[in-house]
Amino acid sequence: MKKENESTASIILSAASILVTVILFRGFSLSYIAVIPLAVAAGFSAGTVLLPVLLVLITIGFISPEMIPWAAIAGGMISSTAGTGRVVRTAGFLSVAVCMWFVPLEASTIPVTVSAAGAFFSRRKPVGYAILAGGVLLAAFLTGLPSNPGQSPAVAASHSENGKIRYTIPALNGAVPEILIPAPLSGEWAMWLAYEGGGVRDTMPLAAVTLREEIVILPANPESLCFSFSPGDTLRISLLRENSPFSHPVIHVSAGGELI
Amino acid sequence: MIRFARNHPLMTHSFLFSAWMFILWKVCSMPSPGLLGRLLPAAWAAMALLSGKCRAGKWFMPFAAAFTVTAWLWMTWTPGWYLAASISVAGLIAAGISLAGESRSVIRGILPVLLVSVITAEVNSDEVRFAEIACSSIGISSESYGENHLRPGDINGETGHHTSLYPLTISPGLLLAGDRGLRIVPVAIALGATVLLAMVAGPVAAAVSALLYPGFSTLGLAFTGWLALGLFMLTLKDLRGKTALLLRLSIAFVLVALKMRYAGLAAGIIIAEYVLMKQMKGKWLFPASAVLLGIAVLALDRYLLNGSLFWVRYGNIEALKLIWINLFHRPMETLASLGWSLFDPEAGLFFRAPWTIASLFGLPALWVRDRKLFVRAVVPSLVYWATLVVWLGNGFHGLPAPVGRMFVPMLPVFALGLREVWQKKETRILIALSIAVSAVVAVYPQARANFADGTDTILSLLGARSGFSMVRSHSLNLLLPVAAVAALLAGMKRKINSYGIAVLVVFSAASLTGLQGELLETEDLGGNTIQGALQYPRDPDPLVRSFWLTGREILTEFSQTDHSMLLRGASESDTLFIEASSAGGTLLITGVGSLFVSTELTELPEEYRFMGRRDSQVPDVPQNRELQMYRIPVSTSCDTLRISFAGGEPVYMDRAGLL
Repeated sequence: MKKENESTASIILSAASILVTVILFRGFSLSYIAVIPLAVAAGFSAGTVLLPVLLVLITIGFISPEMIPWAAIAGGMISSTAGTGRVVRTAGFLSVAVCMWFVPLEASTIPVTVSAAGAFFSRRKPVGYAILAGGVLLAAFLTGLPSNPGQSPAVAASHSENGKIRYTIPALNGAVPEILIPAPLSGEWAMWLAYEGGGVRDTMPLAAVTLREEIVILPANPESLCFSFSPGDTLRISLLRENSPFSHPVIHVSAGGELI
Repeated sequence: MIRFARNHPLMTHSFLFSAWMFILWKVCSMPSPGLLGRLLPAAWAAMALLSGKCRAGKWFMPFAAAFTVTAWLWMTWTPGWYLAASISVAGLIAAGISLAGESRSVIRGILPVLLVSVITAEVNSDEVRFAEIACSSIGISSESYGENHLRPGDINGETGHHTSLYPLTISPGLLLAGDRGLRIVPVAIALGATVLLAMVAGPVAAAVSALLYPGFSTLGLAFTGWLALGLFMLTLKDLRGKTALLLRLSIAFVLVALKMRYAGLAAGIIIAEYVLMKQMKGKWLFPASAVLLGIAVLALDRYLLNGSLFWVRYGNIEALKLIWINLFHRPMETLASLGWSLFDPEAGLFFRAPWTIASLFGLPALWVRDRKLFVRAVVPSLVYWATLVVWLGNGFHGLPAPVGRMFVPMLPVFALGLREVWQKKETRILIALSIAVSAVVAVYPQARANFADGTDTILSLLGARSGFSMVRSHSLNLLLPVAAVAALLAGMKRKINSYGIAVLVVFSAASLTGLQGELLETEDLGGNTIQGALQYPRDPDPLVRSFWLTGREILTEFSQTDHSMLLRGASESDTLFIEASSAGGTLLITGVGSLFVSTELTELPEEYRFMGRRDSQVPDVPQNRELQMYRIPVSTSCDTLRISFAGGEPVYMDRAGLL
């Protein structure tokens, strides 16, 4: 018993001390507070199979603190359903609740509700897992999938040499719904854009391509567009469809141009 | 039905999870529904079919819960779906290790993950070259590999730096199934080598060696590492007598013929054989004969075969001089390379395979238990590692070919050590982290390769930009991870608070790995900061930068007026720092003024003269100009500064920032 208590304390203290280090080096963010209940859940999971899962999530959070809210929500929900003992499950619920307070997720009440149900009603593990699975399915169909509305658009990187320019553009999907393609600093450019949309089963509008006052709505088909770029212009490509069950909208774009 | 489910728990769980994963992937609208959304459930179904009556471990349901939660939350973070998918692969790896242990059949344990690895990994780097050599050597007609192409390190378009032995070994697959059959023989080799490893180290250690890095780096892929491992395993068998001696010497010869890089491994096998020989009169004849034989082979190759076997590839005089330089002219750099080979995030062993740290702790127990096996496994591995770094210097990593492949022949050491420490809880923590790495690579195949540019692909996926790297950090920074590993090993020796020490070390390493310097590395910056600027050199292959004199980092080239960089958050009390080099170029900083960048050429290193070069100064190319730090006070109220190229010679920027 004494050894277990020491393991629990040492895990919690380790996480807390590293969190302080992260705050000192990177500055403070309110969502970092969620690490504390997650660390408590990890500490009280010492000796169980849940510990490696939580340790990996916390480690990812410490490598990239921007991911702490994601790790805390995921780890908290897992702890509240799969944890052994009320302390672990309650700490998991608190981790989710703290994150939800600071992270503007859509459909945010669902994780809190599922986590709370798992924490307080699942004295038997199968009940907890059933609550989790059922909660996820219901949430996906009734309220939609959680997304991050605070996400800013991605900006495509460009490389220009000898009067030619090309852009590196990530794929658009539910996690990256909007891309900006800025015009070069100087000169008039003749541009091309190759578009390929997919993942849906109909021909309804999938993407919007906006430049200056013009907007082109595109369905899920290969398309190519030509346009001119002047300094100060920005081409915006937006995914018009939200991810929903059995629909996986995705857009692949490549673009380049020549100096006129 | 219920009785069947009770008697086949892992099978039942795996089938159910396979169905759940397939459905949830569609319900949660995760990307890649056609490939990963079918491949991973199929892999779980395969695991079910192979699992027999094995038990489902207690870890199974937490994994299933983890996948459920992360799949549902994937859109809340940009790399979210990769991490969700990787959790299902992590479960597959854990199931494979568990199955290998319980069923004593390592093939059943590794087969599902092996198939995922082979299907998701793109054919690239040496695989393409081996396929081209195989097709041209035996006249196979191929759409993809019909022509020989020059690669960095090759002598010319016809003569590569590879020998023909491995391409000929894998050619039956190409003959049988065309281009798609490239990996048939490598898969068989990986399975065979794993079975041999299991015979010596046990099925669990063998499964771990295959499914985690470094073994996973080229598991089932057409690289020489697994064949070398299999041959090395034959020398570890407890065979005695002259036949065994002849077998080991033959294997040593075949290893060198397979790839010159394995000469260290071959030498180590011979040294181990000598060490384990009984004391007898004339024992010294053994190493003397080996050395004389080696010299005879080199002489035969040089004077009768025109160097086509050895000298034309790696054995030219300059390569031998390079070894001399690495040992005696820059010993500290070579020592640092040894350290980076273990700790670098891009190419280091411990970063991708933290479980090998735990296995080191098990080696003393192996020494006590079986001294002969210890010598036969450890001596060749150490000689191989040392030779690799001394010969290749800072090119030890072999990037951009798969990270960690260089360490595959050393797997027996780690497997044997792991067997001794498998039950320790610190081992399980490190195994869990290692499983996470392999799982991410399986679903994000770009993470197999790095470019020795200071950014690891896995860290980049997570959004981290580490300043700790063999191309960016001072080598003294290696003392920190060395201290961390020492603390971890010391913690493993303790029984009290060993958990806490291990967790503290892991969390510390994670937070330090993600730390970025105060100034921004310009080559890492995305489109919202840098527009138009080019990378120098254009070719990302690290071999191009291997022999640079002023540093091996990629630089950002500003050479046209539309090349610009935006720095936000400026205030009047800030100072703008720019680290750059140029032969005389001007940058325009809006609101501040212009900056004329002109730096000197670096001095000719004394190794150049040792190599026989007669130049009096280094060539005037951008990589030979010294980088200089410029400090410009920001005396403007603009909160965004734009730095753009104004004219003159191109400016090559390394770092910039506001402090």
